[in-house]
Amino acid sequence: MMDSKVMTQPTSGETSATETAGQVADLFERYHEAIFAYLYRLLNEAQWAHDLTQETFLRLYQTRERLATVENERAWIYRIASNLAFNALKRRRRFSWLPWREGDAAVDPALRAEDPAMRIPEQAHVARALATLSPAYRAPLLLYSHYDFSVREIAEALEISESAVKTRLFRARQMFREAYEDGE
Amino acid sequence: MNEQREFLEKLARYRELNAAERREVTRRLEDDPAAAELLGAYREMDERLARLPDPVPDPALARAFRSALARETAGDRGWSGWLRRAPAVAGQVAGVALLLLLVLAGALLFRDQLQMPAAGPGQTPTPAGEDTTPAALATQPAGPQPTGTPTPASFFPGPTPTPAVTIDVAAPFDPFAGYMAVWPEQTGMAHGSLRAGMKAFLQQVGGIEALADPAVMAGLENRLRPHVPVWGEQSLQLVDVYPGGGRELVVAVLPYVDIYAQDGNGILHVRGAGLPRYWPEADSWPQAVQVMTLPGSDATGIFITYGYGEVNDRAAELLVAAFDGTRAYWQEVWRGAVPELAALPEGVQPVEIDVGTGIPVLSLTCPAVGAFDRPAAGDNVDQRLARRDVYQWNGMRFEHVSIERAAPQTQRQFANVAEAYLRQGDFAEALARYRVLAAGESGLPAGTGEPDWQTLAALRAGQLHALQGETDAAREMLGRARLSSTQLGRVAGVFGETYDTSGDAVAAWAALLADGEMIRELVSQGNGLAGGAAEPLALFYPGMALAGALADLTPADLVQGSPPDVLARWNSRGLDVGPGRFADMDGDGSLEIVVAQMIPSPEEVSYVPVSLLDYGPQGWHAVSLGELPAANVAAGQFPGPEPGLPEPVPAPDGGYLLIEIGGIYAGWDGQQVQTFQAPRPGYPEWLRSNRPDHLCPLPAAEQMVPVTVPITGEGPTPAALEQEGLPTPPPTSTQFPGTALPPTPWDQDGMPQPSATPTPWDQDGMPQPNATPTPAG
Repeated sequence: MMDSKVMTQPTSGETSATETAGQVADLFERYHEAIFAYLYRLLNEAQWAHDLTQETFLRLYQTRERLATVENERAWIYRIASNLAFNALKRRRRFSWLPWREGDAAVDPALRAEDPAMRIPEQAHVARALATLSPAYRAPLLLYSHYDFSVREIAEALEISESAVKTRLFRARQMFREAYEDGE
Repeated sequence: MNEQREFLEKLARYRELNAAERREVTRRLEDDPAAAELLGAYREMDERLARLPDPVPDPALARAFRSALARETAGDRGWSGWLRRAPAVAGQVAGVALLLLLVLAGALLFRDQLQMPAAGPGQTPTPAGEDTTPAALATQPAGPQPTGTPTPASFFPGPTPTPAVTIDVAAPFDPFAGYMAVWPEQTGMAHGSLRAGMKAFLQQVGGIEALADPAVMAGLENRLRPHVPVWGEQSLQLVDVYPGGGRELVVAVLPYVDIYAQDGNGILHVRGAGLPRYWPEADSWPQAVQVMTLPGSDATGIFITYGYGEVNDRAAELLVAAFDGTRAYWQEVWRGAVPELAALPEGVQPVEIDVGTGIPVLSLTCPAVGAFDRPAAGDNVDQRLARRDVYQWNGMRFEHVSIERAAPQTQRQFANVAEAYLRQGDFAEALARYRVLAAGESGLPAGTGEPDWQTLAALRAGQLHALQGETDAAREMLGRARLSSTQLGRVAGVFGETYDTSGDAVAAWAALLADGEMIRELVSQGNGLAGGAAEPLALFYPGMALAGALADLTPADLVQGSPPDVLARWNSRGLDVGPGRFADMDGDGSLEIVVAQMIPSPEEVSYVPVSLLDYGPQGWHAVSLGELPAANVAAGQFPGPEPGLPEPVPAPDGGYLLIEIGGIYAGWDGQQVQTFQAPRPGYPEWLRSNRPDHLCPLPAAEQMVPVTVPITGEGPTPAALEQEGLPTPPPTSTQFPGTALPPTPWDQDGMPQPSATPTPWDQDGMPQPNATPTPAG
């Protein structure tokens, strides 16, 4: 999670296909598990998180020529993942289904068996509180507190200003605290 | 206020305050116990969040990525393969290091000598790929000769080979060894190796014409055959494909099918003639069936089939690629697919190619399959009759010229038609046919080893009468079914006993569905009693029990707040349901219900069929959409608190919705079940399901609907498609020239036609001329 790398500008010429492929392979090995977990926490659905993890690294590969100019690989990858997740969530909201059972809309999305946090009550409580936050607030809080991102990195990853990150982080903490305490 | 807010924001990011901010915060914390408490809470929060365990992705994700990346660097469609095969690649994929090594080794060995460029990732391999870098047989410098073991030259009489490439001289001459081993996961690499090996071989033996010697051709086959998955009679063919009179070598062992040609200067050219579109190329094996002249186009056509599947459940994708001698690439002029249902009594249905009149005609025959076949198919009556589609070359493409349907030829086919009516919601038509069959009046053979179709018909007729409240008729038919000593008699007994005591058809159906031991036994036995892998619960038709419980409801009654009422109806009758939704799935303006059921089993894994309940002129009926993965049940997630069923997406070919069930998008267009595969990188279109039984016939290429949609999430809305200028889907009931397509799906397999003369392809009615179905009641 602490793994980040500052890259310098390419010195000359183009990076060969083998090198960029190798670079993408390396990034995949380093980040795919964390990206999956991040997407899972944003989407609360394992299959969806799998799909978007695939898509994240596919996009990374497709735009690999830009890697040479990226200063912070980690923020770049999380930016791709975040964009995919937010777009997917936006599309999902376009469709409205009538609720099946009373209270379906209030179903706790964190209550999923595949989430290892569900095995320990305290961690389940944290995951449940986190899941109540909208993704716009959940993402910066996750990145700051779980992935150890700086405010600047979060701004890069979410494509928002640093001041917006500060505001969201503050609000996210308020929301999380309330949800956590309500659940106790 | 702003100052206080700024201060709190600083607390929220306490970990990275600069020196000045840190001093300010420290000072204020000393004066403000509440702020100090808040900071403590934030630290605690961060600790908790940091300790939150991460869900772990499926290892197949990483394996598939490595494989895809290797393929991509090898120039093949690695990403599409990644996404399509991710669930199935466990344990089959080599690591990145090995693959990169293979790529580099391949490049080092062959690139300099043969100058074979790999296709870039952006290049779309369909409809054809071409190796445009010629290998000059006559001008290549000679390489080292094999020594010790027999050399190719010693194997083959005839033309003296002109060694031109470097090969492993210490090993027997086998240009295909090693690299082909990466098939099927690395199809692209294997294909590149195949081409390189073929070139090496052809250079060794002196060119394509040397293959006219059977010994040389046999030598090639002996070397190539151990490295390819399926070898057929037409895997290697020396035929005249291109204009000019010479012969070319058609190699059909891996997608692509390659055509090797040699020009007057001895330069070798290779062209690929198309990939399978509907089956994964790694699981398909091609056969170049026939080379044909395509009059009026100055083009030569090559008819290719891509086999797919297993022994009893196969399909063939068919491609006609044309080359006019001037284009750089082959053109796809027709594509189709048919199942080859060897498990059916009728056996594999052939594809006919007729070039006798000089105008090529292709005919595809789709067998009559239905709910009681393995595999089961959709619910459209049209599809349950044997059908032959005829395509004729019109100078530019193969045009669909006729559809012919046959009457049911067996009791199985007759039952399939009756069942199709039932699943369409036309209970009267279904009941009439089932009564005819139950009375032994179909006049059709049952077939050796077939289930007792009369008992099945009596059971279904009894169930239908019971659902309609016709108690006496129900008991009569059920009583007849219960007399049977077959397994079907046992099923009728379970249903009939509960019905006798309760007079409630739904409760009786629920009792049937609750007998997990019997269901498991019958499903595992198969024998055509149930639908087989595609729909194992066909005999039990669990959704119909749910539909029957809604008898006094209409779609208008399904409003927000009513689901508890619906659930109560089911639960009170002993029907166990899980996730479900209300939605206008078929676009008719009224709501349908999509719901999963739990069919218990004495074993750990139960069945979880998903049904769509639609309201038609004769009430509610159930459409089987598929089954949720049984693992959900084993994991105790059903009927758990999660919503369960995913959001629907618009179907690419019309105004109805699809829902993902077990990886396949299924929907009900009001007439039949439609199934699709979602777009994937490299495959930007929605594709009809790759289940062979859902593709009969596959829409011809010109009828396919190219739709660009996001890879995940929902498909585009119709408005979005319009904005993108994408083509409008063609009508599904296109009137083809020369056809006698019925105006509705219903009027071609109607009741008996007294004067009808049964012929294989001109009749579609019930085959008992004088049968008069007994109406319900």
